[in-house]
Amino acid sequence: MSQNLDLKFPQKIYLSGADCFHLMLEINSKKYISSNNVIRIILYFDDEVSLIPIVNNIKSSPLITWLCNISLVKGFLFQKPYWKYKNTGKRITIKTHFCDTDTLIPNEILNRKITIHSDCLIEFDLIKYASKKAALVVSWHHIIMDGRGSGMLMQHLNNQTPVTNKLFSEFFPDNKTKTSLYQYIKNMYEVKAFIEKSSKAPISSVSKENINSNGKFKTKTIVFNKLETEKIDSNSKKNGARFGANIFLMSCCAHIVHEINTLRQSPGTIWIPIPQDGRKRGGFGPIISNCISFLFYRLPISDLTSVKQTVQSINNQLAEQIKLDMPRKYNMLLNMMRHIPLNLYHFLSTNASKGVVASFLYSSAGEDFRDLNSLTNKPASDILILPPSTFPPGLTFSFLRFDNNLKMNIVYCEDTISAKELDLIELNIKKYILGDY
Amino acid sequence: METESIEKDIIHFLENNILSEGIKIYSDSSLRDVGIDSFSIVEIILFIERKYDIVIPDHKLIPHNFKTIHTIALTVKELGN
Repeated sequence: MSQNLDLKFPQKIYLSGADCFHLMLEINSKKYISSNNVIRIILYFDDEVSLIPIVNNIKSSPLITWLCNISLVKGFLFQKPYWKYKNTGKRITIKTHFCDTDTLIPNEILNRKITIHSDCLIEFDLIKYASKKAALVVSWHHIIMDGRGSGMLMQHLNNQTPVTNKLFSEFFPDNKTKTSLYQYIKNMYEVKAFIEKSSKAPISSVSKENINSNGKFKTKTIVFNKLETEKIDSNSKKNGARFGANIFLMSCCAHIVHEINTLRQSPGTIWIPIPQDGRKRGGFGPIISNCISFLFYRLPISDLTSVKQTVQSINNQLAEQIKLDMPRKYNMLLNMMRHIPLNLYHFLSTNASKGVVASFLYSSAGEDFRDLNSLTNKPASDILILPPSTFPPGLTFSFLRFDNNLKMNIVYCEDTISAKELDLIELNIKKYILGDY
Repeated sequence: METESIEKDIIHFLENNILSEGIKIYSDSSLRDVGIDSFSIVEIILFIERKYDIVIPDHKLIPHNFKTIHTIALTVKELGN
């Protein structure tokens, strides 16, 4: 991929509503030292040579160059925040690390923070193992790109053809809006009423109340083999997950959190916001910005009597929210919130739930990385996605399918989940996911 | 219900709600190849259930029935009959 010098680099890109949500979280997380809203994708390769084409493409990508030369303008009072591009001649630097143990990711990478004030909000690291195997780690601040965007970025980085102005413009969000102010306000009230009802306190969360967490974040990965993955798919059908295994997995996670809360003698309603990709399908972008909305699931104790019952409740809530076009309307609300000062934004976002952001966080790479082994020039031998370390709530379950195996990452803050509770999670996740239904 | 008219309804729904501008879809296009993911399939299922006032039973929610618009239309027609 050669860099086309005639490309029109956008000078000003407004943050989307979901980007501003991350900005609000960043401001709020200042008191939680260990929080780090960074996503990492780790691609493992059987040899170092496989990495050469993709490294060349990273270095010559106009999009990566654009990302190296932007700074955040937060706006004043009711102005929308935006990215300002200024060509300072900065180019991406890719650090190379050497490691004796296969698959190990040096702490230097894992502990490195990326904040909204970092020089570049995306970083690439190469790891060369003594065995001649290699890994590429892509780390970025969640504010610039969501999971689906990163899948599209990998497609762009694998593309050998020059980027045209038309294609380049697709990588950025379209700031045009076609909705009338009346429609905006009508939707806003509708969504506000829905969210207030959905997130109404008391909500039971895994994070203890009012703690200023400085605790470290840790990750536990559980890999289910092909046979186990097939059983999981079968179990999801047996439990009525008609819209896919994701709802079954989410239900199992809700049961685990409920058990922890029960052991802590604080069982209650579970509330989970689930990110929902808002892009139109079939295009090449946008890559930049979070184009997501949310679906919200409220699970009172009466819906947590069995996994089947929980799946049924989520099925119904999903269908209802799609019927009401709630994700699109919530996205419009997020876009409106861009005009609100961040402290007020935080207050409005957490007021109904009395400060609880979510009972726990759940994410699934869906199909974003299904084809990732063919996106790089040589198939990756393995893939790992590390979700952000977000506190509160300090517990994230993330799922990924690769090579017919389901992988589960549990990212937790040691102030939120004790070692004993982690053991319980591991034991119970197998009980629920692989149980004989 | 005629297969062709169901296909037209689904194409209209996809082009107006799911697909990027300029993306064309035909009754025999592979849904996966045009970028339709599992969540879009959920939206298609819910659209069909509302539009034709049917419930697609769980045993019909299999990948083969959602491969192309034509296979979806055949499933809907069978249920409608």
